[in-house]
Amino acid sequence: MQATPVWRLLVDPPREGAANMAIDEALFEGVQVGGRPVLRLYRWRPPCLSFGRNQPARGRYDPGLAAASGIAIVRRPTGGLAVLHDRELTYAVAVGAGEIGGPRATYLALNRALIRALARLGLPASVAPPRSDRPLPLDRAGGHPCFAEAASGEVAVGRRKLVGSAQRCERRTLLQHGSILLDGDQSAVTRLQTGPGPHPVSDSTTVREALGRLPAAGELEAAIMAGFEQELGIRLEEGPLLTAEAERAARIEEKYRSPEWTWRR
Amino acid sequence: MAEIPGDLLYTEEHEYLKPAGEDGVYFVGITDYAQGELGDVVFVELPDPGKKFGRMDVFGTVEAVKAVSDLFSPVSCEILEVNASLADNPGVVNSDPYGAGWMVRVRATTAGELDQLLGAGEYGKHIGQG
Repeated sequence: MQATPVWRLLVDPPREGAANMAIDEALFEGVQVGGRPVLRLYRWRPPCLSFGRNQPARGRYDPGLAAASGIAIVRRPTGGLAVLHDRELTYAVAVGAGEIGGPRATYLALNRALIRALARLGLPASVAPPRSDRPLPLDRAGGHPCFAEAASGEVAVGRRKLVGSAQRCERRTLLQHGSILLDGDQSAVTRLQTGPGPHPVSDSTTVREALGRLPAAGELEAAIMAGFEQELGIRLEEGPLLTAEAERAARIEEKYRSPEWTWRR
Repeated sequence: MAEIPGDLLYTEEHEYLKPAGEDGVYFVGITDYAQGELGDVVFVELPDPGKKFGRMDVFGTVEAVKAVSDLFSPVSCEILEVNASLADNPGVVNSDPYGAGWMVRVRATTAGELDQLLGAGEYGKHIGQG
């Protein structure tokens, strides 16, 4: 009989965007050098607008308006488009590429785990169907919000996106993180854009809207843990961020605070 | 089945090296198998011409919907040219990976490294084909 794989679980307090991205990257690096797979659950304080790694943002978003609105800005290490992280729960998974499968297989498996978690709350989410049209090149999609539309395989309620996820693949290791929208809307992503419109608006839903209530404290986290364990056939072992990881994250955080990285495109 | 042209060389990370008609000069791109695994390519990040890379150095990234992956240099090389048309039309990496979807044209700078690449048959086995 094969032993059940044990993944680490980190349930983190809310942090700033740069710190959150740095911790995800430090955990990703740990897995690259042979560490166990990790699931991290976290939130953002203050609210933060994140860009995808390669998304054109310079001249398309207004940092002054963001600052005046109390919204931080960070650029993620992963792909995709802009997300406002405010009333949401974020999950991050760092896992070897062979553990579940390749990037797409992992993407689908993690989305199925999230759907199972949401079902435990009584929320009927599903995988968005394949799209017949080709996605726009990133340089033309430019400032579009991530939640403007559900891409194939994403977690949606009907056709409205509930979870927006993105990946980075490096040295046969995958980092995938994503936002589970709890409440509010993504309109600030459009509001912070500069330049000529029309800016596409989000077509997203939230847990509150789909469930008719907000989950109690810890309820969604518990459902995610159970959903992941069941769907992936793993056991989660909760523990803290290790001292070496925290030190590494503190160094990485400098990159995520730097305008050179945030406004690289 | 992914297309694997018999006259090219390959890396285990799914890049190909294709003779560009001049001694020691090659086109580099990603294989048909890789583009299929990635899905719709929306962006390719490429280095400036003149830059030099060692064998298996990361020379750029490719982004399919939501997923960013590294591109590895099959051999030590100098970048001679990048495929500028990919900025407007990255989807050509999916539709014509070995032709119009090439990414960089390079000059190999270290003799003997080609021996370390995979032939079409070996690459086919690597991806579980053939």
